[in-house]
Amino acid sequence: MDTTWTNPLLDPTDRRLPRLAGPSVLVLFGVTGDLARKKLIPAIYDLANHGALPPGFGLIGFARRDWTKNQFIEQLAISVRQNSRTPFRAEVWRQLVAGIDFVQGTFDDPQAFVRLKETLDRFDKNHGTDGNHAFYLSIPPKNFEQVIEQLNTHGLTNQDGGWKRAIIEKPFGHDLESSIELNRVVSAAFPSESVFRIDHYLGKETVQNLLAFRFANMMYEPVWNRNFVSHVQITMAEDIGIGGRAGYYDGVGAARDVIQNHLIQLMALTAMEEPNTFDPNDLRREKEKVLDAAKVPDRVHLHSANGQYAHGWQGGREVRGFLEEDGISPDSHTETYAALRVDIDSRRWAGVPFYLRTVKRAPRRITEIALNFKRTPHMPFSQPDIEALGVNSLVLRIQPNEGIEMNFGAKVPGTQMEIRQVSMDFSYASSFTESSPEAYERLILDVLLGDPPLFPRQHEVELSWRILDPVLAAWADAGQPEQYPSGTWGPRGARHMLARDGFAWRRP
Amino acid sequence: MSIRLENTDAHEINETLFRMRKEGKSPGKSGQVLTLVIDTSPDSYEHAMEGAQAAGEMHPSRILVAVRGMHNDVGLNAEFLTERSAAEVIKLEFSGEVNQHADSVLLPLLLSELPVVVWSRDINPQAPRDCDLAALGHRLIVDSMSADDPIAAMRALARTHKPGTTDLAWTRLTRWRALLVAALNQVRSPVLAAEVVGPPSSAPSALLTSWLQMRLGVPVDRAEPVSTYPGLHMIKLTTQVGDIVLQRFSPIEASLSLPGRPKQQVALARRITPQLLSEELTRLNGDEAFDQLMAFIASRERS
Repeated sequence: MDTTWTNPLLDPTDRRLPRLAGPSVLVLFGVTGDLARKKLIPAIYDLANHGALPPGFGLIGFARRDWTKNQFIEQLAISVRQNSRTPFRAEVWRQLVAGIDFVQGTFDDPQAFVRLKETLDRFDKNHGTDGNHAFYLSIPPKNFEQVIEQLNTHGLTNQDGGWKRAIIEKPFGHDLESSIELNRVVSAAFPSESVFRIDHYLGKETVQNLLAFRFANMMYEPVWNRNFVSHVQITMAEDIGIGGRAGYYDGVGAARDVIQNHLIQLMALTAMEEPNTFDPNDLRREKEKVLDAAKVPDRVHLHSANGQYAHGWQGGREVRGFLEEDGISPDSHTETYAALRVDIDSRRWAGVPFYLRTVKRAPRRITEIALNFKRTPHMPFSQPDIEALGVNSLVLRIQPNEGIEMNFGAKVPGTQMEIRQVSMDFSYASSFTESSPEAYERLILDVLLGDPPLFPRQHEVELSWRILDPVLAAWADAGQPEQYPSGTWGPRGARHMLARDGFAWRRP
Repeated sequence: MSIRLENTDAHEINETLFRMRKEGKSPGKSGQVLTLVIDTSPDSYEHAMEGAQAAGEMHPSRILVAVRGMHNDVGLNAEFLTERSAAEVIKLEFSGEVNQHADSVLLPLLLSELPVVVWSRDINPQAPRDCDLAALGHRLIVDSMSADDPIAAMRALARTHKPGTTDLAWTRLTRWRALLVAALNQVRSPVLAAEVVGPPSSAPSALLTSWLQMRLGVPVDRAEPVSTYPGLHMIKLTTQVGDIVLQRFSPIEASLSLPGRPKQQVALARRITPQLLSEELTRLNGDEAFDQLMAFIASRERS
């Protein structure tokens, strides 16, 4: 193929043109899973509805289920109708269905992969997909090695004649060592730029919102440092328990599930210096630099806390404790609450602790980054005047209702000088009501376009494990985590952990 | 229930807005992103409102619908249509002398600092930019297809074009152009000639023809369709390796064939004004590619 060819119709100033993926096939492993039904299939339909998928786009489902192609299509139609963001349009569905196929088989069955190869060859011939294949491994990590090996043996990862890309979901290992092993397996078949790691908690849209907020504005940068910020709290709370995920969750726990990937990424984006450009490589460089400078304090047990939700009431419903959940052993040491302090050794952040916490069965669902500011050095007010004044804070709300919140003091009208905490709120959804693409839509489109993802590469994954590993080791030695009542913000130990530093957790 | 003010002025309208916000009957400024001024005659009012409501749902804004040429006894009436949209929609009815001074009413009602977009519903084909309200904002949206002679209107638009002005006839082409770009990306072969089939009065067909001429530098044939379908019918790009043909076969679907590949069916629904307007409101900086095209058409007209 001639690489010097430029498309005369393409014009960088023509910003109106949507980016359209080239001809390609997406192979979905684990197509009968929850994620595929609730997120991936609807996202693919929404992309098609926006006209972002090329005519002749192929979608091949691979699963053990003994389905015919038509049964498979029926199943897809159900999940599209139930879970898509955009309205169902018959002509869009027709275009999509023309490129759908199903391959029945198990991961250990070589014949199934022979059939997969035949199907792909047929697509390349009949749909003009030019050997461009993306493999979405929506399967448990323990099956990665097997599937990738099968793909390799059957010549499905050969990059000659069209690109081959792989998409994998978190968790990327369960500690530093296992993440290196996982990477070895994946990179044996796919070069690093062809591997797309997705953390579905953190969509590209959110990352870009954060970057825009920090670096497109003048007024925040001057205060974004140790001179003004006293500490930072990054929280991800869920109001639900582990539900039916005992098999996955037991032995993994809140820190591995959420802090290693999601919260540490949010911390990196909050704390990093300005990248030279938003080129993914420049961005990655800054994130890696700040992660490299980050570590938990030496006496880990004083600066971390873990817990398990106990029986109690959450939002008006009586709920079981973690140890009473089906599939969880009563002596499980797996934590459902995790909090830790991270210090960043840099001129910008020295002396500013970053507190990361994740809570299951919390009072409500929230993910936020809160920068808490120092108190003014001198107050020309008397103590009673400012009794109701909290600290200034700037909160980047990630979900739900992504937005920015600013808290500051204002005088209460009247002859008394009385200052009280007030709040100012901006929400993306109310200013930009045109619904923004779902994280999975952006991801799938990036994969098909070959856009280098903003998602972490292996080095970042390893740096995150390096931060977390000492905490996991300390907890492993410490016995069963402390119980906290369901429907509360966590165990007592977590409160002590912050009190030691003279702070208190925000009530998000 | 809507609130109506008879024989009013901007001051009273602003007071009423403030009161409504306090009573929670109208969204506050926080969240609003722009002011949209719609310049319309009483005849096109309903159509303008449809566009306004849809746009208001996509882009939280203050929408000022200036209906000029009413025949009321008093100069200005205002109606707050809060129940009809998520946005703050205010209908302003101008009669008599104040028709010529509509800007004096609108200026105090613009949201501070935020962008102002003017959508001129009715186009004057002789001087399309000659909308006295255009000066209120840096973005002017017109639709040459609303003129009696769309092609003449489009050409006049090109002659007087200023950056920041866009034509909904161009917006109608976005999906078509995206498909052509993608098709050519796939074929990767020089284009030798092109053909556009659409009715002679279709401004989008004319714009597309000029765009292809400008981008490709090859002759582009313009042919008339056999059927009576009002829009663009077919585009053919003849490349060294064969033809790329994008052909509409129903109001919602088209087929795309590329050299050496099976014909594909693509969803290509005709878009209605609210959708077009919404695309425009995401482009508050104007459209450089359209500026170039207007300059290209104007220079060809002159020579």
